[in-house]
Amino acid sequence: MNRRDLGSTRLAAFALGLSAVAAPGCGSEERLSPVDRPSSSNSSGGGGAEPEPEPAVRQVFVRNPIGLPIDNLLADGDFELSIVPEAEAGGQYGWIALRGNGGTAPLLAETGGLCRSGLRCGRLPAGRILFGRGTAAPHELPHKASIWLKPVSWQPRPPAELAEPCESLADVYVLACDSFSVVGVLRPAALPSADGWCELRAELAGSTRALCMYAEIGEQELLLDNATLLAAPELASGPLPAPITPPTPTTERMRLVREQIRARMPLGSPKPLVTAMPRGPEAREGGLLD
Amino acid sequence: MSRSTLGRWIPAVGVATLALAGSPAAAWAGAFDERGVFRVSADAAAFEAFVAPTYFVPDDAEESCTLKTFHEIIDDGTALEGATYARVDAPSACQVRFVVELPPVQASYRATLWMRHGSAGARVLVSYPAESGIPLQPARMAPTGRATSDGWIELATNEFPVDGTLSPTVYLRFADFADADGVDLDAFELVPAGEFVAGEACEGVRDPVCGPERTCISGQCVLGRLSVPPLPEPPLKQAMAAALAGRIEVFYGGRKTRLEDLPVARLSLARMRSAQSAWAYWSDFGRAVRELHDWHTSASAPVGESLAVTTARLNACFVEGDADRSRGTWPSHPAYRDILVSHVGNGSAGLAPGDRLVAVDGLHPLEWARGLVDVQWGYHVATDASSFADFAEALGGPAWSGGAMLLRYAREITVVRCDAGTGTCSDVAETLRIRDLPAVLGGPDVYCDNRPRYHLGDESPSEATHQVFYEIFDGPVANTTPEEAIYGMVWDTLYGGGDPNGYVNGKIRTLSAFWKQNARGVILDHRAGNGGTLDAPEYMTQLVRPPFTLAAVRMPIEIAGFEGPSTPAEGVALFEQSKAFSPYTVGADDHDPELPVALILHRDGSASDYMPLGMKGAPKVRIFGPGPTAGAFSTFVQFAYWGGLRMQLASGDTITFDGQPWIGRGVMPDQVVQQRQSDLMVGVDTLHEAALAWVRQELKQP
Repeated sequence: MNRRDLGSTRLAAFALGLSAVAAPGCGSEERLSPVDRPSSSNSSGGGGAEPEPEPAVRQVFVRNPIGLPIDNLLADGDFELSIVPEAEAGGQYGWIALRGNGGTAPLLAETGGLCRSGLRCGRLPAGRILFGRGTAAPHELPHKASIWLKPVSWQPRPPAELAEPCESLADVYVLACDSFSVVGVLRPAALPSADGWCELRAELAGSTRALCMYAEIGEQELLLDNATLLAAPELASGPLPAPITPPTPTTERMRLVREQIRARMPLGSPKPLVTAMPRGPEAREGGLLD
Repeated sequence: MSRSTLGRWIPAVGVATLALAGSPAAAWAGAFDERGVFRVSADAAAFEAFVAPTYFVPDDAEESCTLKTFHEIIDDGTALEGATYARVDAPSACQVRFVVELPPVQASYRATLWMRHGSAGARVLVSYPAESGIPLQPARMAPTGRATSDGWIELATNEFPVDGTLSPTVYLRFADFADADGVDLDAFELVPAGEFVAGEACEGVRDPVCGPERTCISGQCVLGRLSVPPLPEPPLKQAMAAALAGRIEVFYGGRKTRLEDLPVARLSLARMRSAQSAWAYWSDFGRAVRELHDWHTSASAPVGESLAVTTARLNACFVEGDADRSRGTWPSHPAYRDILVSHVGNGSAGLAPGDRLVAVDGLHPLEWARGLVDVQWGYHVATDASSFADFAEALGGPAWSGGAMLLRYAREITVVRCDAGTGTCSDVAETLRIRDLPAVLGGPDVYCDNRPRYHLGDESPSEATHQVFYEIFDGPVANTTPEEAIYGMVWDTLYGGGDPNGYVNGKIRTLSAFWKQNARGVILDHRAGNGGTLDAPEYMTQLVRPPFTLAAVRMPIEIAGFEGPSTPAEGVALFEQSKAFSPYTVGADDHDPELPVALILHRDGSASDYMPLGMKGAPKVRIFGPGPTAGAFSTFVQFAYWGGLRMQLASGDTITFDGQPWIGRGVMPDQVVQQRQSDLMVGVDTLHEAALAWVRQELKQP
């Protein structure tokens, strides 16, 4: 499929309002299109055996740097718009990383094809907590939630001896943003995808209150990408599920994170309007913001 | 309950991944062969392969940034181009800089750079010799969308001019962050692109001499594309516009702002799709965000970031008021209040307190300021459509504080000067061209905090600078007697941050306890309320009223695209649903019901909206001010893109116990008071005097 064909297919899908078609990770894996090879007409046409083509070094592609899908109910599911210098960690971004005591931590990033989608993805060491801001679907529609994880150490596939490689990478919950009451637990797929990413997903009831994502990273440093919380009108709206109570240590950490987030929710300028004027090279070379 | 439809917040197009193979590469710099090997552009004017790059550290860099280099050259078989690449791992206060050589001609270039791991701020700078008088010119880098399977992503500038005949130094400035072990760079390439554009002088933001690709700021045509990301190739252009619109549609606003302002912004968002230049594309985006018309909402880009500081000075601050001494010279506007000089510093173009600013480029100053929505990236507007105090405040003051709108964007101003000695004003208006304002050195810049004077005696903030910022000032009110026991507080921050004993909350609690024991009246001066967090307003209200769950703060937005309660009954239901988890709880059992507390407001938003909302109606509280607060009754969500481009969206609403949504509705003072021109001329602070008179009338019995 050439670039124009692929583009027009997706454009047509969106024109029908099927935004999820453009959403890698909504149940389908994003595939990197291999670089086209020269056509056979490039050969000399001689009768001898053609030399083996040299292997490709890399694939090249174009990805949306803003993040998809566009109707994601997570503010920055694709980890494109929450990667900031450490001094800004803890701002009201789509994702914030925290330590076990509730204190904020930097959210690291990986890039390009090392990520599952977009240009950037999240990277967190073992034991960290990740909080993702979101909202709920209108009309109390049910939801589908998903996030893709991959240990940094997998190159790119998990070690063959792992029977259940996607188990225990992280505990991921969807919860009410205000109360932190858990409304769903994301369960890992049995096996990773061909490129070594593990999907965790859940189906959730409709909600009248905003939903957020909360993850506790397990014992391995992880890449995180392509998280989605999407309205799922195709799911039947059944009775509300029974409340989910995470293990006590998790509940305690959730309480600390909730306190941190609620207490520091900014209403106005979180810091003084002016703290310091740029000096030296910063003053001459432009603004402070990168 | 109002409902939005799913389809409504799904813009029309989107693209996830596009294979580049087989596509024409004309628009790109370096290309890849069929095996994915990077090939330097045949017409590259400069290329840095990071074998032995030339780097430098500015003479005035922080000492800690000069002690070692923060990059290493690596040859491990994973370079994008050639055998080697650079790995940068610098402390947050430092950056690395690599120099490239360009031909000694006037030309225009586009720079590209490949990086992997973490994230970065990257810009290309053109530094001319000091004798040229040309300021340092930054061109920001942001992604093109191109990426590789082994983790490299491409950053690029838009086209930027270089006058090589002046022997400039051209270099890449790179700041890494969000990386575990550094960020890798490779294949820094400059390719001729576009036409050379020389700097040009101009007057006023609408000066046509700058053309559509430049904006006149501070008397210079600023090439807008230097400060925004590249124009994406179609269809990525459509997809990115759709993705940005999607964030706004899902997360933006509350009832008023979604119903009244979002439809306006949608038109600008739609224009992005047909934009033909990077500047047009991102300008439409910025305009759309500004049209959302919200105190918390902004799009920021480093437009004009390194402009030479203009030599002109207008060291003065302006407030809305009542021009009771000059209406004969210039009538008041039917829709806007008069604009008066509040206070000045050295270099005020001869303006003095009480003088009147009657026009900017022929329009009422507030009409002029509101009209900058299409061009001013720092545009800041109250959510309440009838509040203009933010505009008045930003007319003057220093640029580094977000002010200086007149100096930066106006061509001429028209003023009416007054004479404090005679108590009269000129019967002739005088027009001053901004470019003719004298360069005056010396003395501090005055900050604009809407306070002509302070009234705490020796405990007052400095009247030379008016920098209240993050401090809290308190003490007995000047010109009162010990028997009256009237105390005051001057402060602008409500950032409690969740710490009951932190500076702000601790001070509020300590002073409240002291006042309950010792004061017969209190004047709270909060005339430049920058907001903060909800806890500080809650503590402040505990001085004056019994406990009550006044509102539920439903934010960030609880339901995607939710347009808020359409009836009070719906609102009450929402309040009841949310009050247990997100209450705004005011008051305390041990409040002082007999202590008169005057609250003076002027330009106040967010937590500084909540505070007067929580105090209003308390038995011994009276709020004084010229008009409504900003009505910014929400929090916000932040989005950080590349190259200094940011978006902040207000998200959610506040529903009071009676079912009313509050976003976009400022709190009205109990007593509307305007600064009078006749008072300002003689150093009288009209609002303070009104508050003091009321407190004296209501003094608590000893």
